Amino acid sequence: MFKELFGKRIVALFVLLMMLSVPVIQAQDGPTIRLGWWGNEPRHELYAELSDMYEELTGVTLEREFNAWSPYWELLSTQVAAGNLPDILHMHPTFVNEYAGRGQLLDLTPYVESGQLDLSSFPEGTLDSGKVGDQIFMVALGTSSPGTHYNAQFMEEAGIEFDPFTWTWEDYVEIASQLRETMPEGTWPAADDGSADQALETFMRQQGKDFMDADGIAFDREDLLEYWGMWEDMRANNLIPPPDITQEYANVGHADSMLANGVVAMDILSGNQHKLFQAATDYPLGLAVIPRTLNEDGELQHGDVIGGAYLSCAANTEYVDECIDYINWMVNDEEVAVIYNGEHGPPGNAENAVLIAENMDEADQRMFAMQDYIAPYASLRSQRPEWGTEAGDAYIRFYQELTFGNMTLEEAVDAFFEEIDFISS
Amino acid sequence: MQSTLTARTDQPVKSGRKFTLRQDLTGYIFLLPWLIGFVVFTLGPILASLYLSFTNYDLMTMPEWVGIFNYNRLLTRDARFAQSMSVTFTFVVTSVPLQLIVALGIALVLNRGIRGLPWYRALFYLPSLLGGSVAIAILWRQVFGNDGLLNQILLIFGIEGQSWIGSPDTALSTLIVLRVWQFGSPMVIFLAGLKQVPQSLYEAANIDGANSVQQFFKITLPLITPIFFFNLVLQMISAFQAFTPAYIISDGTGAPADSTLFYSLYIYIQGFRYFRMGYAAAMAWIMLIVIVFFTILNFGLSRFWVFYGDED
Amino acid sequence: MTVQRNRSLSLIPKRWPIHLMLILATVIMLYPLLWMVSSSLKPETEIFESSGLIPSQLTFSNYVNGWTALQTPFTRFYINSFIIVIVSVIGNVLTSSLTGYAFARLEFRFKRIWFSLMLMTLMLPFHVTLVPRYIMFNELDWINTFLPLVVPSFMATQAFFVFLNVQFIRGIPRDLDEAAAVDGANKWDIFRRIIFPLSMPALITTAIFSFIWTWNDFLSQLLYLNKTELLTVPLALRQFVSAMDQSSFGQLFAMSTLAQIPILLFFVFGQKYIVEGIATTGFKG
Repeated sequence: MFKELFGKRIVALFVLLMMLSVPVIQAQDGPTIRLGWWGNEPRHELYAELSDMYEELTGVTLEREFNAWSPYWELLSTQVAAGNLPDILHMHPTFVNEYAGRGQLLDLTPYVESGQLDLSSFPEGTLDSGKVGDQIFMVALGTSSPGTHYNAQFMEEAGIEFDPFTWTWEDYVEIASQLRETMPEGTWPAADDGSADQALETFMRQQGKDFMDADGIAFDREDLLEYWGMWEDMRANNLIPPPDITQEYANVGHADSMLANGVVAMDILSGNQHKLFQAATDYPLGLAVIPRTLNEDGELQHGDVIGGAYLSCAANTEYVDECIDYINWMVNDEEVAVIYNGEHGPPGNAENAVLIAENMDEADQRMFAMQDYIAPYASLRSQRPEWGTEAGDAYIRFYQELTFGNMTLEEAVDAFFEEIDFISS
Repeated sequence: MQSTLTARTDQPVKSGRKFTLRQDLTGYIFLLPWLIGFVVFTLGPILASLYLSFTNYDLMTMPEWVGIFNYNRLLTRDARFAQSMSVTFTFVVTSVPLQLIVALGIALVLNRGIRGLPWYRALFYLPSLLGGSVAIAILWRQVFGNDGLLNQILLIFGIEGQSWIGSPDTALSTLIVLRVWQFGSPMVIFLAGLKQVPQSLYEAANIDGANSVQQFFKITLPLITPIFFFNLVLQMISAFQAFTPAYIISDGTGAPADSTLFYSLYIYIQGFRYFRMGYAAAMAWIMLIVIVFFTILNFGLSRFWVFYGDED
Repeated sequence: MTVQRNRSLSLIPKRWPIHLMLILATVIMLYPLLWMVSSSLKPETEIFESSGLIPSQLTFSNYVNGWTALQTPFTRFYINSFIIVIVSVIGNVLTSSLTGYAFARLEFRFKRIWFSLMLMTLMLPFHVTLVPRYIMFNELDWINTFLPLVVPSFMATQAFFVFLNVQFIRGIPRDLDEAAAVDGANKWDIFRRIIFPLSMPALITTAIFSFIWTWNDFLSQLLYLNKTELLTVPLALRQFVSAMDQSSFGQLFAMSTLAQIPILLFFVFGQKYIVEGIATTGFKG
């Protein structure tokens, strides 16, 4: 009856469309492997180049899924729910526990032991940084810690000299005050990094605490009062931008960032991004560590966190061998190392690190120098509770309540801890 | 709305009439696609979400019965829930009346037999078609951004702008403006309604010497109250469910400081970011109850101001 | 009559202020759209420099570069969007008409109950079905296929379209049905030969709205499609925003402009049906 009514052609068209609506299976020789990474525009181009190379080399088709940092993780969590992670994905120490813990990542240990995945050039510490328990779940492409990126020209104009590896939070505020005198209206000495989890984490570790551990929030009310209080004072003294400006710049790329455009003179961000900022601006930049805390004996407390980018495989991938081969190629191939050029900090493969160190530009040298200096003090991020994402969101939110003046310092701190009690219930 | 509907459904069904099996069969065969869809995609999910709302469910492990815990947590302790309610109410209560007033105002002007009516109507209607899209939300972000169009224009008049999207005081207003901007669709309905008002009434009023203001309040307004009511119900229901613009403008977070945390967005965050599916289901049921309540309230109140006149 | 004529005559000289006002309102309303289009034709550096509409030089490079900026070219996203939209339109048109016919013309038990339930789904917030539907489609392994987006349209799940068709079919004279019945036509024949062809205006309206709504849909596509090769135009635009620098805003505007064109075309050619459709459901028809 349907046929009479709509004619054979329409039925045929309809069947065709229904078939098309089921995902198209690509007819190709090699397997198609999904590869996921985070980043911004320059990095996407870099990965495109490398992926094209790999496709030509192996006949494997790499299906590329990429996003900026936060949408990347948002998408991954949806994909986890659907049991649909990319075959090869970029992993980060913040999240590895969550994903490995839920059984979503492939245990790479057997492949490392059999030599199929060759990590012989990896220093032990770097190799261990990819472990959860005794099992290797991810392999470092590069490791980097956050640092303070600064505008060297503004520093010079203000006549400021400081030791970028040993400065303290007091120095930081003091330098900001000096910068204020020479910087014009509409620009600020420092970005508002009060909501940045890396800065907070480092600060808390300097107090012998942490942002979060497996049980939950790992700092006290007084710590947060002190930390947020410092940012509030800076805002009151016009040393950091008002919150709406900060919000406006929240998710922009390097070329549009406040730092690259001379809107701020200092910003705390991952060290590996240093060269991206330098590439995006004509200002000469510098890279310092995150400011330190002095303990009662006047000793520097460091507390640096290791970040960076790692490669993992999905536990349910159909293409285990292909994934292992890809990781092998990415971390060991010399040509790749030269092209990749420490995109995510010094490569995990020590030989490649030496190799690319020979041809580094100044920005790279600054990043490597900082990493070298803090290497003895840096350690992995602690495991976070299941509701870590929610707690992280809550931290940012109550900091915003504070900055936009909806709450006083005490109110915001109390509300934050109340919210944590609430979330964890 | 209601009276028209019932008037029409009433006519074919004669009371006390028996249906033959054949009639039933034919009827249900025709109804089958809808019936399956209704059970599988609407009724089933509604009941399932009622069940889920009493459980703890993260999509990966089995649902765990927790009784009224989710509702209790939502209604007594979740400050973000209260915030999302307040954002959504503010949005509905300001954007819907504004949108309707603008729509009615323009419709009245256009209804005066103006030349080029189809052109104006088309251009005013255009934003209603485009407005819900991602592209327009992206555009809005640029219009109200710090370097955006609005600030550029303000600068021409020597006014220093601000970041409208970045400040919690104004972020929601930009979304209200976006909604009011889409007044075209209620306007078209108003125009259709205004056409129904018999010209003879105005002629009679003219003879009686009533001026245009009097005519508006004595003739036009009462006669279009059913249309106004229809638009009100429709726009309210859809405003309660707004999602895309808030998602795009705040990068899916409700920022700054939760000032654009629409109820829909909060459900999405709870369900698909924190994987509290049971919690999200409880939120959805509360929304259902709220919408049903407001719709009933609307119908109840309509008796006092909607003028149905005599059916023709 | 005389009064009426006098009134309009006396108004003619006064009309130009109304037109002026309306034109001004139109320009203000459409300015953001025009700005988007003109920005997409400006060189990158110029976009945030001026609010003017005339580019210093016309460039189409934003379109060319934007089309391939996401590595997977937009061609793929447009194909995906069109598949989903066209299949949904077919589904909505067929089943809404069928259901509309059942409700408007056939007699069967519990019809009024089903009809009121159908009307109630008009005001059902989508949230209530969101989570269970996701779970269901996940269990069916339908995530990352177009099925969750198109199958419901073959079950007349959009109450608005059913209602539109019911209203329209009620307006078709019953004499036609009855004459056909006398000639021995059964209900199916009547639907096929009389109701379906005669309700063409309502079907066109259904098709247009179904096209526009599916094209603009974001949330369900966001939930169900998360592989690059399956992304639709709205999802690709959203990814564009998050992955690109502001320096590529010209490209973003270019892609946003292109995304509006299918809707614009439907609007230009289907305006009559849109307006009539609204008026039909807008009661007192």
